[in-house]
Amino acid sequence: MASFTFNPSQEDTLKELINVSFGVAASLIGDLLESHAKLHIPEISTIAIQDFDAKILELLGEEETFYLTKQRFIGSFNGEVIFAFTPKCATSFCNLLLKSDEALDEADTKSSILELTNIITSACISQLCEIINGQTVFQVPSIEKRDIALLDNYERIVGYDNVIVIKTALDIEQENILGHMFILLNNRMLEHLQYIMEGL
Amino acid sequence: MSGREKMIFLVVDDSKISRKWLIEMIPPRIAEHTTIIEGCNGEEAVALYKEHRPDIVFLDITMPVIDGIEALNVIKKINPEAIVVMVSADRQKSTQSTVLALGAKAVLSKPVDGNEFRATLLSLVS
Amino acid sequence: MIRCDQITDSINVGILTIDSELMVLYMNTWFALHAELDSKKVVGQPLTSLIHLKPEHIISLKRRIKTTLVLQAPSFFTADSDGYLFPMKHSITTKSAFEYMQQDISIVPYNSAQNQVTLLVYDQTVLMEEKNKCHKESTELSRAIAVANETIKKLESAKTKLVKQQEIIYKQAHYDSLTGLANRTLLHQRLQLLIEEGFSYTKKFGVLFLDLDHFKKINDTLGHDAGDELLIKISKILLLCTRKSDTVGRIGGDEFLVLIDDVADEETLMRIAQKIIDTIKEPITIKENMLHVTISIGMSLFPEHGADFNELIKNADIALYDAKAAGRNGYKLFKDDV
Repeated sequence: MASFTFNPSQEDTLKELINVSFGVAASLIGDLLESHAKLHIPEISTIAIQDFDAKILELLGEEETFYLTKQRFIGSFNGEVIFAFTPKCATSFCNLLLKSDEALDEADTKSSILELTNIITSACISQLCEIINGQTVFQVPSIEKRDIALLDNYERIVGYDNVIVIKTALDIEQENILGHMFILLNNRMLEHLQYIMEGL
Repeated sequence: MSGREKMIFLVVDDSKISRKWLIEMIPPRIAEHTTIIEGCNGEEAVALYKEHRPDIVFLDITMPVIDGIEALNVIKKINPEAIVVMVSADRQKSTQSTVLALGAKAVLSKPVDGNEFRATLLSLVS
Repeated sequence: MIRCDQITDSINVGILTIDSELMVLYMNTWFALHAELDSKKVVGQPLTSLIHLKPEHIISLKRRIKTTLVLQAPSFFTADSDGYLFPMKHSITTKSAFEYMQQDISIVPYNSAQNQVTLLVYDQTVLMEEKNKCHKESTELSRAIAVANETIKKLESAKTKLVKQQEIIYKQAHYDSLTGLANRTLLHQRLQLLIEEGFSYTKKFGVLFLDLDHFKKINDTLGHDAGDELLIKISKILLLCTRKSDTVGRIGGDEFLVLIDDVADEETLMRIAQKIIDTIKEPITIKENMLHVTISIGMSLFPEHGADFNELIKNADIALYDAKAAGRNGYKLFKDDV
């Protein structure tokens, strides 16, 4: 199965759409954290689903563990959004969000990251959904801490063909929180998205 | 409106599609009397301003090389009376107050609402 | 006309509609029951006065509500990461790890203009119990695997030790500890084999009985250490003068037995004996003393001089006696003169 690529004009459109949605997300995050937030995209690319694990390894290979969140969205526009964070970035964000005097534990970190990824996912997917004139409903997200060494042991993802890989950077309060966002779509969804973007 | 010189608009955004969407929102009766010049970063914004002295500048904030805020600053120095409208995905109040303080006439949040855009445009043109 | 309240009051999900100030607009039966409240008396009341919420939960609830209103998309609390928001008794009757019901909560927009949202509360206690159990079992399994692996390692190490011991025992039983040459036992085995092969393939082989001349004198003059060192050096020479298919053994103090496999004739055997004598004659340095050592050799040939172990040895021995009598530093082949 050949992997999808966007032509430069489509990529420009996609990037702009995501940029706009990130503006909305950043505004909300900044509001919730009572600080100025900037959410931007250093990089965006597309890969086939078979290359997903290899991509994770490429982006996070130097870590021993990482956090992985998953959230499905269903409807006429459907797919799944996965985020990957290094433990360091996850803890940084948790500290910024919860600002607690007490020591923050694993559950706090997981909860904070889920909150963050839910905001970005909702903003981004809603924006794409609007352009595509579709409807979508967001499912409950989940989060796991995974071992890089055991990457092969985790269950394979099925039901999707392509992944849009978006490197996201959240700048807030002198912290730079880097997250890797993956939008998983099947061929039909992606074709539809491409078709709509071409017509814009 | 015949005999009147054409207006010049400068639209600057690093996203081609973003510029396209904005330009498409200009009402036809204004568009037919306007020359539209496009730029894709802050550096071009300044250079094109110097060259063409547009009547209205539409400036995106997040751009490479020189960003919109920096470009706004320079353009205002060239001509304190310059009419600059900021267009941005960043809708935070702190950002808005910064650009208004620097002399921007208005701030439009992306995705730009057609009606809001036309209202702003009409108020500036007249 | 669908009566929604009929539905919402009979389902197994908590439904709570509140605004951004946490003022209650609606509460369904399930929620009221589990919160031990009267659903009719809660409308218009602040949530915090009805249910005890932890301060940090109030903050995060308000944050989630804001997110839902701004993005017009759901926000969530998950049992896995957040545990519970509303302290409610769970339905597990046996001993549970959890004090309160574990909850998945979805927050969805209700009336955005009025900043109102609906909370949907799902009891996930059973699921979380199962998850904990699985985790516990998985941990125990990992531990068991670790123990098993340790045991395997220990067994393998023990096996390696036994194999090494086996090798040592074999070596002690078949080789001379000083020189490393074959001992009587091994020589006997090899000789038997040569006899069998000799019969099967009609080939000749030679038996050389060697004796160091005046060894006792050297031992007495220079000491036993020197004597041992000499024996070791002689052994090395004998090995050098023979092939891999030959067997060099030590059968007593300064007595050696060499089996030469596949010999063409008597002349060949005599050539080999001469070679040994010439090589040993070369000066040997033992403990800073330059020694000239000589050797006497008695030889027998199969099948001419015997067809069994005893005969061949006996005749080689007789030949050796002759060699000594003839003045030592030489070899004699067995002659049946009787």
